[in-house]
Amino acid sequence: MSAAATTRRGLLTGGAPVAGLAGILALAGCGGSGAAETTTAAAVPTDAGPGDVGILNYALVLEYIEADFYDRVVTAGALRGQALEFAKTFGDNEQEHVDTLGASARRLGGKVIARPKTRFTLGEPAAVLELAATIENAGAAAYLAQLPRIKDPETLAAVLTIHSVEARHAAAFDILRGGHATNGPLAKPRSASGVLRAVRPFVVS
Amino acid sequence: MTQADGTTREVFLMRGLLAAGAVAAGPLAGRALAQSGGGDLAVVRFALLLEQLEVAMFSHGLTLALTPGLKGAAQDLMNDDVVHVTTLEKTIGKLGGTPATAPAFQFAARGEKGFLATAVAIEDLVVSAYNGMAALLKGKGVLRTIGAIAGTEGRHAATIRIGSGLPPTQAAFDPAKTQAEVRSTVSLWLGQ
Repeated sequence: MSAAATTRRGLLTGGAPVAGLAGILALAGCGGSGAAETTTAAAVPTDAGPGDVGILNYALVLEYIEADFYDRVVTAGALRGQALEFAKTFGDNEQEHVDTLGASARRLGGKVIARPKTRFTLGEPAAVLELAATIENAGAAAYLAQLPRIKDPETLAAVLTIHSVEARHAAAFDILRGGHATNGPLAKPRSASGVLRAVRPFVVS
Repeated sequence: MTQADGTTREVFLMRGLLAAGAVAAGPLAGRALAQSGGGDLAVVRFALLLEQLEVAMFSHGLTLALTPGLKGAAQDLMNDDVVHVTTLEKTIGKLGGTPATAPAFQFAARGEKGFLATAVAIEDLVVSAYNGMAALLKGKGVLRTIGAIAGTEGRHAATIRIGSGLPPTQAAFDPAKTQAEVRSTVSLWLGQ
C-alpha cells in the first residue's frame, strides 16, 4: 500500500487495511484528510484503480455492502414474508454481481478491491425496509451516474445488465415500504460522493 | 460458420444464451452486441418504438375491467412512458431526425390475467432492449437520457411483476438483446 493510502487509513478509525477502500471512502467526505478530500465529486481515486477499473471497484464496494446487508437481514430474521423472499433473492443477485464485477476488473488487468467490513443496525421491519430502499436506491443511482464514464464497451454492456436489476431491487423495496416505485419518469443519477456519503455508515474502516 | 443475418455462429449462440438468462451477462454481452449499425439516431428511433408499444399496451389495458389498484398502477406507468415518448422525440430532433408516429399495435388480452401477462412480457423485453442498445451509443448525452429511461423501465418491470405475483427480478442480470431479436418479438403486437 502506498504511503499516502496508509496515511489516509491511519486517520480513519482503526480496522483492517483494505487496499483502495480508504481512498474511495474519503470521497464521502467523512474521515481521512489530505489529497483525497480535494477529489472532485465525479472522480474515483487512483488507488482504487484508474478509469474503468476504478469504476468497477467503486461498484464492487456498493455490491459488497448490499450483499452483506441482505446476509445480515436474513440471518437476523429482520424481515418476514415477501420482504424476506426479496432479501434472499437480492442477496444472491448481489453476490453474482460481485463475481462479475471482479471478473471484469481482472479482464481489464486491474486489481480487485478487497471486501470491506460492514455493520448494519437492524431495528423493526419498517425501519429495515427503509434501510433496504435507501441502499438499493443509492446503488441504482450510482450505476446510472457511472454509465457515461465507462470507456470499455464490454464493461459498459456488463454494467448495464446489473444496473437494470438494481433498479428492480430499488422499486421492490420502495413498493414494500409503501412508497412510489419510481422517483419521476426519468431515473436520477447520483455522484460517487453522494452515494458514498449514504453508505459510509455501513462500512467499518 | 455464418448465420443468414451475417453473425458468426458463436455470437448467435451467445445471444440465445443471454436471452434465456442462462449466462451471466459479463464480458460476452459486448461481443453479442457488436453486430448493429446505424448510429445513435437509429438507436433512439428504436427506443421510441418500444415506448410507443408500452403506451399502446397500457392504453389497451385501461379499456379492460381491471381492479382499481392495477388500474392506478397502469395509469402511473403509462404516464411515465408518455414522458419517455416525448423525451425520445426531442432527442431524435436534436440528432437531426423527425420522430415516427406510432404504428398500429394490437393486443389480444381481454381480461386482467391476459393483460398482466402481456405487460410483464413487454416490460422485461423493453429492459433487455435498453441494455442491448445503450451499449452501442456514441454520444454521452444520449447515453444519459437512455440510461435514465432504462432505469425507470427496470422499476416498471419490477412493479408489474410484483403486481402479477411474480418475483421482481428475472435473474441476477437482465439480458441484453439485439434490435433484431427485439423487433422479432415486437412483431407479435404489430397490427396487420
